[in-house]
Parts: sequence; structure tokens; C-alpha cells
Amino acid sequence: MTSSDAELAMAYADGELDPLSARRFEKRMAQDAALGEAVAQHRRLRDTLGAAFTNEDARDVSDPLAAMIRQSAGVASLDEAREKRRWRPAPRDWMAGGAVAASLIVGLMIGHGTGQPDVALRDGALVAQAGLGRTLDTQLASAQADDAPVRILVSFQDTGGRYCRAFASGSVDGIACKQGSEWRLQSTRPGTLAARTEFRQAGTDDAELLAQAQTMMAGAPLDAHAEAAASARGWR
Amino acid sequence: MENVPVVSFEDELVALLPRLRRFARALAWNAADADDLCQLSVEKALNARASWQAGTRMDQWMYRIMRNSWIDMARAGKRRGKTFVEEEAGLTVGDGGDRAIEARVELDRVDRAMNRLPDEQREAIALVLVEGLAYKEAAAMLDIPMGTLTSRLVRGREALMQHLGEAA
Repeated sequence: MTSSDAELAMAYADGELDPLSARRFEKRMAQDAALGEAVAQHRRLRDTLGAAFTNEDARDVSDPLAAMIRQSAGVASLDEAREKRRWRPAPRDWMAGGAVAASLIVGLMIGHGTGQPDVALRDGALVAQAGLGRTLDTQLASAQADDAPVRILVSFQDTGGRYCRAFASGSVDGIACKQGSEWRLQSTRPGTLAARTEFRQAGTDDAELLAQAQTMMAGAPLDAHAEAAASARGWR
Repeated sequence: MENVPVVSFEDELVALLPRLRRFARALAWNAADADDLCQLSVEKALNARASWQAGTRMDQWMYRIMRNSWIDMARAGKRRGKTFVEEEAGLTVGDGGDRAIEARVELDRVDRAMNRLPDEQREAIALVLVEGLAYKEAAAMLDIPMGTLTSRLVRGREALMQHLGEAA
């Protein structure tokens, strides 16, 4: 096959020939099996490459890079974000830690001392209540004290239209979504806030939660204005 | 352009991530290099945000950034490259037999074939066959004439078919 035929066969397989050239090429192809085979080979190669790399891009659903991009809107040096990504276990590692989460939740439900516990089991769902519930109702990410016992990381609407908030505290971190009158916990992990305040390094432990929030999110996180409005409506 | 909200830049970039990841994977030949390449490119894009013109095509802007980043990584000796592939492939083979593993083996096979191409052929192939750009778009992005692009594509594809075997 001449090199110009090779280019024609490739361009035809890629749909790059203009209609007239394509028709001419089809006529020749009908007479010359080698041309048809060349076209078929190009198509197979295209499929092979497409399949190989498409599998790859579906590989990682929760994406630390996405969280980094979101965060870049207002905060954080990129060096800090990069360190975060390098040393962080993949989000699925802690989400899959069922045993850890279970013991954590039992502890939370027993509560500390006299107060009502922050987490309860209602109708088979974990819900935030007491101090944590009130914080989720009222505390705005855009206006929270440095030493607040619970820190709101981001507020957003999920793909089902519910308002959700990612939070960190001394006892539990997680994402809670408002369903009816309850804040249902969608995911939890041991709290990181207490350990963190000593270093005054808000943000360094948040990448996983933010990445997970990203996967649940419809559109962009709520800005200060939208967050305040949602809070005023009781997150409904 | 002042009335275009800043958030649209982030939204667009996040939406582009799967394609960037795929392009990185096609340019680089192992997951570690591809991750580094993605990371570096996104950092550069965030730093160069001011030079981004809203309303123009971000995919082409990002591909260009990524391509330059890949060249930078080579210059800085930051590509881990070939030995890593062999190591990875070795690990994969001994790993079990479900579909994800098969996909990995297939990807490794394609990686190795891509790896043997010169950069100029690999990037042409990544843009056209993996990313689905039209010849014209790919040529414009690489700043080369159409004829140069098609000849790189033909040579690259012939080499790939040979490396991948008859069945391609």
C-alpha cells in the first residue's frame, strides 16, 4: 500500500475525509480488499486505545485534585494542598473502615457524661442531634470562630436536592444531609479537630471529606450568601 | 469579561478532570507519572488562572499546559518512566482474575506499546485517538501543519499495531 493510501485509509477510518473524497475512497475500497482491511485495523486500534484509557479515567471517583481546585478559589497555598495529596490515604480507605466507624459511633451514642449524645440511631439511620445537630443548623462556614468545637468545612446541595454539610469536630468528622427535620450522617470518621487545634492548622486534614463532598455535590458549594439563606430556611 | 463569575473557572476545570487524567495517562506511560503530570498541570493552570480567557476552549488550553508540563518533567528528570512499568505489570499479573485486573493488564499492554513511540507520535495519537480531537484541532494545538500531523499519526499507528499484534 502506498503511503498516501495508508493516510487515506486512516483518515477515512477517523471520519476525516470530506464527503466527496470519502465516496471515492469507498469505491476503491470495494475493489481492493487491502484498503478495507487497513480501515478495519485503524478502527480496531482506535477501539483498543479508547477502551484502555476509558477504563482508566473511571478509576478514581473521589478526586483530591477536584477538592484542590475548589479550595483554590479562596484559600491555601498550593504547596500545602500538594502535601495533603501526597500523604493522604485514599478516601475509600477510611470509608471502608467499617469496624473503626462502628466502634466510634457506639461511643458517640453512649455520649460523654450527663449531656445528650451528639449521634443517635433513628429508624435505622444515624442522625446528628444535641450540640452537633444545633451546630449543623446554625453555624455558618463563612462566619465561625477559630476555636469553635465543630468546624463546618463546606455546605452544598447533593444531587438529590438535599442540603449537606461536611464538618469536623473533636469526636467525629463527617458529612450530614438534612432529611426532613433530621441531619442524617452520610459518612463518619474519627474526629480530627481536637488534635488539630494545637497546631492551628485548619484545613490540612480536610481533603478527604472535601473530596467526598465533591462526589455528592450538585453544582458548586454554597457561597456565604446562599449558605445564610439556606440556614434561614431551616435547610429545606 | 468581568461579569463572568470566578467559580465558573473551577467548575469547568473540575469537569475537565476525567479527560485530563485520560490524556495524562496516554502521554505518560504509567499511573505514577500520569498522576504527577495531572497534579503539575492543574497547579500550573491554577497559577495561570489570570491568563485564562473565559469563553475560549479550556480543554485546548489545558492540553497545551499538560503537554508543556510533560516536557518540563522530562527536562527536570522527573519522569519515572520505563522500569516502573515493568514493575507494575509484574505486580498486576500475579494479582487475581476479575475484570478490573483484566482491564489493568490491557492498559499495561497498551501503555507498553505507547511507551515505545517517540513523544511527537504519542502526543498526536493521544489527542486524536484517545481524546477524539479532529485532525485540524490537534494540528492547531501542536502548532504543526496538517500534513505533519497525519504523517505522525500514520507512523505512530503503524508502530502501535505492530507492537500490539495483528489483532490490535
